[in-house]
Amino acid sequence: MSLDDRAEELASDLGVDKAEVKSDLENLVSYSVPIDEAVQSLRRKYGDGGGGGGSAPSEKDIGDVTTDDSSVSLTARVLTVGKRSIQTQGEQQDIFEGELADETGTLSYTAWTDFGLSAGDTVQVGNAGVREWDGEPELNLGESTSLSFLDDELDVPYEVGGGATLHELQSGDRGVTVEVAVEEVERRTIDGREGETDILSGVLGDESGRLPFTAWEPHEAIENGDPVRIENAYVREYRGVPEVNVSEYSTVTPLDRDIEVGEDATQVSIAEAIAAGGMYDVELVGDVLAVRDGSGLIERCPECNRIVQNGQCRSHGDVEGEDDLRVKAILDDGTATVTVVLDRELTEDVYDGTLDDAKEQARDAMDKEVVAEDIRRNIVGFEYRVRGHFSVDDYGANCDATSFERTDDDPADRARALLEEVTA
Amino acid sequence: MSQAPTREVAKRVFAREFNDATYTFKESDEERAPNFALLPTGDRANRVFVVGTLTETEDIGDDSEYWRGRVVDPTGTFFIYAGQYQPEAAAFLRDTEPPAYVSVVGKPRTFETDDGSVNVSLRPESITAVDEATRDRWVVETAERTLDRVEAYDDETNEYAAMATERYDASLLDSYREEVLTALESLDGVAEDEPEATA
Repeated sequence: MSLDDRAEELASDLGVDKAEVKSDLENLVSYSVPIDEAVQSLRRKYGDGGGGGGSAPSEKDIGDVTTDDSSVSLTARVLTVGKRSIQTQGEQQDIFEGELADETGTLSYTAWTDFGLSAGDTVQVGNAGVREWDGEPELNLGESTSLSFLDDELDVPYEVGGGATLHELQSGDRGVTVEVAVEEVERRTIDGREGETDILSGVLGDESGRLPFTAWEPHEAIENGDPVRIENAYVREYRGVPEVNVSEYSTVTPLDRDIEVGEDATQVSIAEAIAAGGMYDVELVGDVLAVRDGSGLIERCPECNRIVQNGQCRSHGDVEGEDDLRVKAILDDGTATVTVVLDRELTEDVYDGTLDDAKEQARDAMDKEVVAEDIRRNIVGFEYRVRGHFSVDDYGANCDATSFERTDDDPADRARALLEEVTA
Repeated sequence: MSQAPTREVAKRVFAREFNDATYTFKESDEERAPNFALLPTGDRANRVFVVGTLTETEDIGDDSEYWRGRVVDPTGTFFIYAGQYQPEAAAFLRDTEPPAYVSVVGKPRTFETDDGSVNVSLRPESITAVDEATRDRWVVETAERTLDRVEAYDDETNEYAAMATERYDASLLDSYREEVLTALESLDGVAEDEPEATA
């Protein structure tokens, strides 16, 4: 769009003389002000008819919305809508959350009033607040927001409806639809907001992988362990991994087809797993570069299972520690590093001995460190295929291993594959 | 993205490129700020992971033990130095009979010689004995990472590549690429027996 066109448009928007606007605009641009910024500046100068000093937000592309915006207007397609009930100032309130999209990107939103949104709607949103959530911009649709439904469907390069595989889900996703098998389920009674209440928890699975879940209402189909379609669920981080939350607003319908649950965990790079903020049941391949202190023969508090150092538990003081074996190994795949934690069984494999063997070796050497030294010699410098639950917290990334195997494929095959790739 | 603290990733780099990485720098003025070697392929390395053949060991210390080991890969030789502050690595070099396949995790160190040239060496955090398959896997992995770096060299946002352009001869990149391919072909069972080729 030429400067002349921009001036014309601006002049008509603002109801001022075009020549005047154009000369202002030319002046700003001659001072190297980008044209979009110059237009904004003139809107502020001429008050944009909004009055009160504030300017009405201009129509933006979603890809251009940043956390620096205070409010925006945009036209978008509703990808997902999830209903949730929250407590604000002691009041129960229903809110609607999900994702909007246009050709340029997607944006999470929270609607504080019921606009009657449903997935697939094309909407024109006026004066929506922008807030920062986890470093990303998010829209607030409230009472001062105008919203109208458009008949012309906006084409977006994203899937409408929130259907996803478990592998694709990330903490913070809302209005999610999944079709899953219930792998494990148990009913528990918890002390909720309104007294004792029953919930279900367990593990869901589909072709892409597995995720833990909590159902805050004991849906019968889930409890029966049938394959189900769950609509309007949300995903929240729990103990460092994403968890599917099934709320009272979620719809659960039994499926009349079987869901094949993938036996193989999805293989990801360590950097990907960290970026996702944690992943349930993943496979990593990397080199063990170190065995951390606190590995080998250790003592645990009989009360809380925490590590006992010098006969002292951090919570229970002087205790008679119980012997155990574990390994905290640094796995590095060239993209990032993670501490892989091996339980007693996996530790016995890499130590090539039992807990009793370890105790005997330590007694003979009068030093527990010899056990960790043996393990170090056995695993450092080798490549391992690790399967487990990946979590990220303030102290770094951890992977609780469920399996830990040295890779044994033929390096020549890998070399040939790589050569083919680069010389093709 | 999480803000959780992370350990420096070990870079996979062949000996030729490692020994060319003569320029080192820090990214902050803090006393304990890590020291980085600038790789000619446009990356920084505070830690490297190497697997190769230990071919020679020698105690070059005067008063106390100071061990030097040579670890060879398809492109050249890594020089490993371990003294009293690396007791386990020093003990390994003392006790191991070359030749042997070894893995080394360590930090790059530079040393200026009397004639003004800069030698790059490796100060080990750990050395362990490994097998041939592990060494071959490392060659493939390092080849892949090196090619990735060469590919990312021309990205406008690659600040370390920009730095490398200032410090090193850019024609090195082509020779690294060539050497990577040669290294891959040198592995047992890669270049031989190609029935389709002769048919």
